[in-house]
Amino acid sequence: MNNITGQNTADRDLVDRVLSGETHVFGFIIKNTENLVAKIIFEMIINDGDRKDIAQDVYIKVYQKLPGFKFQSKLSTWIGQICYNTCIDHLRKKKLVLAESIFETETDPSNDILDMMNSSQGNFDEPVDTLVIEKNISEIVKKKIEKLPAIYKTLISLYHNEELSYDEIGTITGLPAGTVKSYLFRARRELKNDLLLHYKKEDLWS
Amino acid sequence: MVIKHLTDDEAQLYAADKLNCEKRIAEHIQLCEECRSKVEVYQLLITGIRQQPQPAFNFNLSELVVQQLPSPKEKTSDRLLLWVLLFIGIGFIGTISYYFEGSFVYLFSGIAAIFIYLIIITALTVITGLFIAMYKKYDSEMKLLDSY
Repeated sequence: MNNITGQNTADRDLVDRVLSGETHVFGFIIKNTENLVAKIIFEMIINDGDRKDIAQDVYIKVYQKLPGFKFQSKLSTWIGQICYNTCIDHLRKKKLVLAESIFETETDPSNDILDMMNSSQGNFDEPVDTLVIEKNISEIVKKKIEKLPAIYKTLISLYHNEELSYDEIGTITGLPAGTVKSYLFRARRELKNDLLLHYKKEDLWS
Repeated sequence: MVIKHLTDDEAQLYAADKLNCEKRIAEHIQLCEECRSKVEVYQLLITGIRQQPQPAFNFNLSELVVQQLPSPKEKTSDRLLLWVLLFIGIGFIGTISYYFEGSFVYLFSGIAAIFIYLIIITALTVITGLFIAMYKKYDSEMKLLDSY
């Protein structure tokens, strides 16, 4: 709670200074939120040149809209929202597919796969990190994530890497928190199924 | 005895955050090899997701954006100008009223009060509308200039 209040006070201070004419302070806001913006843009936009234009466009919009920011959410969440909407607009303009219906079936084929698999179990009490070849699993998962639709990639990244809550992700994407949760479950299930279709379980563990 | 296995969502919940998971789920996983196997795959997957490299721009975004921002407005000089214009306006109206007071009274003495109110309200509405339109145009032009 204190952390949120402290964050809010810091946000307010930065915003007030920018609005009072200290434009260089806007650079601090960019530095503070650049990681989040990069995550959203990298997950949603494939073209590298477009990423640069969109990143600049996002912060120009933030600067123009800053007088209207009401501090009803964290500044970073608000900037994330602007970034997400800018990416959506870009994809719409380019008529790119945002979310393909790859999750048509609600059945869980992995249950069958699991049945077929050799159930060579690792030591369950041992942390997973010690059981996997880190580089290997990271690369495998990366390839699988790349195949997901943009919105699911973004949700996965915001939840697991940026560690945002369902509500914060909901604010950024404009989706209800329940929908965010549901999409995340689907995305992870899809990743798992894809993983198990191409790799035997024992290959994933060393 | 019928064993009710965990749903896929429950397995994901446990894999993502086992400390905040229901005790029932944790207990089942300890006993059920099938569900444990499912959870292990999810744990591996989540580990893989968390190990993904942090994306970063290969240019200095902060510098690039800040140099495009418009220079701060001279608010004090704007306000001073407004005050000066206000005083000139009041002075002008005061002078006119002082010298032509008699003429004004004569001008409106033959007209019914309701018409006077009608004229005043119409004039004020037109002036306000013109002022708002003028301000909006000014504001949009300034924004356009700022974006270059």
